[in-house]
Amino acid sequence: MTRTVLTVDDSRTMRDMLRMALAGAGFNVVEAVDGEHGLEVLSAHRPDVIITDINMPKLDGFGFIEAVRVDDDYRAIPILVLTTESDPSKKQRAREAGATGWIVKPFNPEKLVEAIRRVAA
Amino acid sequence: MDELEAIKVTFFQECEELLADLEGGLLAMQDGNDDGDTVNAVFRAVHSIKGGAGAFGLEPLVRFAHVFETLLDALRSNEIPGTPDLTALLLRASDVLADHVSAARGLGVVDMDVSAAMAAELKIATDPNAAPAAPAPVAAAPVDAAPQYVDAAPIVIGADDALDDDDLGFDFQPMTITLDAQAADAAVLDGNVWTVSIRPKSDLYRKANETALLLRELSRLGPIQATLDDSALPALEFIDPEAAYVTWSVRLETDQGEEAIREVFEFVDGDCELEITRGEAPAADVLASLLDVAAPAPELAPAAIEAPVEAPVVAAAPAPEPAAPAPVSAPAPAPVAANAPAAPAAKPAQIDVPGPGQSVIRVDPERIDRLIDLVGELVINQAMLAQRVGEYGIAPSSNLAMGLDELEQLTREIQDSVMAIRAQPVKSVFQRMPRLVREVANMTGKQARLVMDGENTEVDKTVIERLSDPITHMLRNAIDHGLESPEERKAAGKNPEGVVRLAALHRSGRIVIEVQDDGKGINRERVHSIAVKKGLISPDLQLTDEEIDNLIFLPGFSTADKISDVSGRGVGMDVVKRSVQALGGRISIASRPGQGSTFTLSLPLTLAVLDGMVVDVAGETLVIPLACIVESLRPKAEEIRPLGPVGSVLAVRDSFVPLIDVGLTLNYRDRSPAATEGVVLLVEGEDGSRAALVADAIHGQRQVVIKSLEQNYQQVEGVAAATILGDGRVALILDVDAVINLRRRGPPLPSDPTLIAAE
Amino acid sequence: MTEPTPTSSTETRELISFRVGEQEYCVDIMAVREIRGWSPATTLPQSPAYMRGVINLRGAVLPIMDLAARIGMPTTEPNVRSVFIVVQAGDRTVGLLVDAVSDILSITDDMCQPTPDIACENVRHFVRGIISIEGRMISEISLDRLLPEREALAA
Repeated sequence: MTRTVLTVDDSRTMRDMLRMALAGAGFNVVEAVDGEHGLEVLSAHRPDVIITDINMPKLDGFGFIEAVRVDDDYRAIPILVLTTESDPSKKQRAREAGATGWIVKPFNPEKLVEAIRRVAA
Repeated sequence: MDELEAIKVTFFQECEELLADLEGGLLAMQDGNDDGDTVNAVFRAVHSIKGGAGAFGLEPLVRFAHVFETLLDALRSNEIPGTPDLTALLLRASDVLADHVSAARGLGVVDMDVSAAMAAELKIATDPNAAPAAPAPVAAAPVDAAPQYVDAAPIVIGADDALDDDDLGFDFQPMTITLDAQAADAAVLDGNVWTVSIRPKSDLYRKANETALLLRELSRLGPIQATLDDSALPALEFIDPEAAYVTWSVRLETDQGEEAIREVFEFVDGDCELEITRGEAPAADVLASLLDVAAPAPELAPAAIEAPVEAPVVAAAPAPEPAAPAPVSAPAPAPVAANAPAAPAAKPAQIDVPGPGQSVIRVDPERIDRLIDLVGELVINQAMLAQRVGEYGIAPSSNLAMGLDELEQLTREIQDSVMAIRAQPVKSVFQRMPRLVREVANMTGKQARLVMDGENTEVDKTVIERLSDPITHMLRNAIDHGLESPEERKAAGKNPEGVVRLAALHRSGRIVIEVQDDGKGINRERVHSIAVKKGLISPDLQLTDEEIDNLIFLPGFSTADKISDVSGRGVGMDVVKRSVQALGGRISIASRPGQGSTFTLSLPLTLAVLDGMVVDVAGETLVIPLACIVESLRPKAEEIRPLGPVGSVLAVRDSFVPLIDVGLTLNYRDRSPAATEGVVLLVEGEDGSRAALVADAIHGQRQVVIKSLEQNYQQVEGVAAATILGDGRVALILDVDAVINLRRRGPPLPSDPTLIAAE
Repeated sequence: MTEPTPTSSTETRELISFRVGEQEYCVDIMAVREIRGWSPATTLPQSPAYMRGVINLRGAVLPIMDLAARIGMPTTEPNVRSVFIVVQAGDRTVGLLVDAVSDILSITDDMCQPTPDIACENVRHFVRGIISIEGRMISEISLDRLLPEREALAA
């Protein structure tokens, strides 16, 4: 069965990169441009895994993760955050907010797929 | 196109937008809007550029963006205060960042000295205590070798690590991992059986991690046998559904090292108690020796967080607990079939809606151009069809004629809609201008603030592409020649900072661009005397103020005593004017002494179609652009006065306008018929001079599709372009200014009442 | 599309030959887009006498050149048999007005001789070689030299 991955990132480049890597690995990809949009798309598509950026307008990654985790319908969806090595505090904050795991940018398509496989049922 | 290349194109498009956002945000900050949202948006712009650049391995860009981002991060977290000076620095940094983006794109080069100096400034602004003597790594790396924008492998895992080493002084030591790895290697030599004890905390489940998935991952390393210790499980009525009570003990057979096992638990670090021991049973001494190996870990812990593989699991692991249950003693051994993971709590339904988050379609511009060409053909064909039907004398009330009318309506609507697809806001051109203003102001020692208006005014892509040069010139001119120096302005009782206003608006089917400065206005005496000195006008010519102002557009005129680096660049306003005219546009200047000048540029909204008057001249059909025509009239004999040997003028109300026979001027005929037998079109040239064009007959007004003569031939003097009329024949579109000029140059007209352009 | 470069003498090329006055000329068939009957052209002002004007070729503006006038002979008076040959010359498409199309020739390069020195400047400029076939003498036109260089107009 095809798994659906929701990618939430305000950068079109990043969304395209994720789409390329994920679609290439056989995932169905849905996209959102910020946290708020992410919550809307979430209810429409019920993804198996969510990948989210942290720095976004409107609702940032932390707020988005928290919002997903307090919703009984979605709290069990694994969420991977996109982080950079240079900011360990962000990763920590994202984990506290309820992130399942993380992907370090710039990411390698195999690592990305590996990370999803690791958290997806 | 390769998919990655396509994303790269997207990336550079996005960079353009992000750079515009960045500049817009910084300008807002300059105007005092430094609320958190603005600063955050500015930060995000640089952050996103860095992120994308990292993905494509654009090292110099990543490095510079990183230093820039670090400063912005400090600013948004209020570690450093926002000041006007800082904003000015950020604006200049955004210019350098834009240069880096261009260079990465292969358009131009970055001055690495400037970049390095800027990076150093940014670092000092981020942390004033940082030793400024240290050589800027940004400079050090790329200076010797040209920035490597060769298509690098797209995925660069270590990009940020390298950065941290160089730029941030984060001094973490990946060596700790080597230690672990060695320990692991030793373990493999000893045997390949491991015991992994996992005691999840409730946080593990709260983050949507699953022990079942961890077991599945472990099983990828080798065959596992898992036992569950639920001795801590309370009685059913006391169970907190969110809490974790059980401990898993897993026997794993693998030829992989401990590192690989730890990696499985990377995401649950801290959310479970984890023990990894070599051998069948967790012998205390083995565990102790492992901890010994990891003994220095506590000191390295903060750094180790940085390490790609999470070493600190060992450090964070609790003291060896005897509680670690021996598998044999497990009361309810529940071996989990490794390859049959438990079903997750909530299995999301699969929805087959592949729709991306956005409802925007990106289309290759060439396809739209093709569509516009085709619609142009459709318009022509429709006109041809209508003309044929007309020739058959079919009544306008007949079904056929009415159907044709509807077809015409539809065709026109399709054309408008298609043109609207290609229309773009002038923003893309305007957003390059703040930087230009900063640079020109810096270079000329002026203080200038740019105010922009109407950035969302839309115009056809064909016109957008041609707007940049004239706007650039007008702005340069406004700052260089228009604005006074800050001292002069103060002396004149003005704000030392001059204001330049750039505005776009639609006016009567054209786009109008205005560049207005609040400078000193045109020095008319000086302009007049220069024009006389250069022989552009005769000394005794009486000119209105407006006419004097517009002398600056004459070829060979330049008010700068020497060609300055700024306005000059070897190009005068005459060249600007000519390029504008070539587009069917006009440019003029109005000035008020002491209060400033306004350049007004007007262009057709598209270069694809034109509204024109169809006329007959010497058996040829010509189209005269409607925009040039003031009025059409049938002259009476007494209104026509001969002037000199061949010339004549037409009295229009109380002024005399030169009569130009179009047929004669274009060499369609040798002598002109009496003007009273034809029709006169009063036209206005770009310089405001008027002329009366004589044609034989007028056929009426029509929108025509502009066709290039140059595509298969070349420019023809007196002809702006060609079009195809309803009868399928080519008609030429008259270049009114060129016709006026041809006439001036033609048979000598000693009494030519207007300016004599120097050839 | 550029003019085909001369190939080895064993390879054959196809040429379209046509009459201009009493003489025969030809162009490489690869450069020919189509052949059309004469239709009146719109006169171009300020243009050399050999430019007959422009016509509408399916939406594109096609310049028509009087080939006879271009190579220095008297201008052609178009009649019902006149045709124009639409050819690709460099990046431009142009129609050549000629009196009539004769036939298609297959030649090898060894049938092609250099233009004799005695020929006038114009002929040497526009004729890339002379082909002798079945007793006829056919001159091959050098298409890339027919149209004047595009020039920007002086103001």
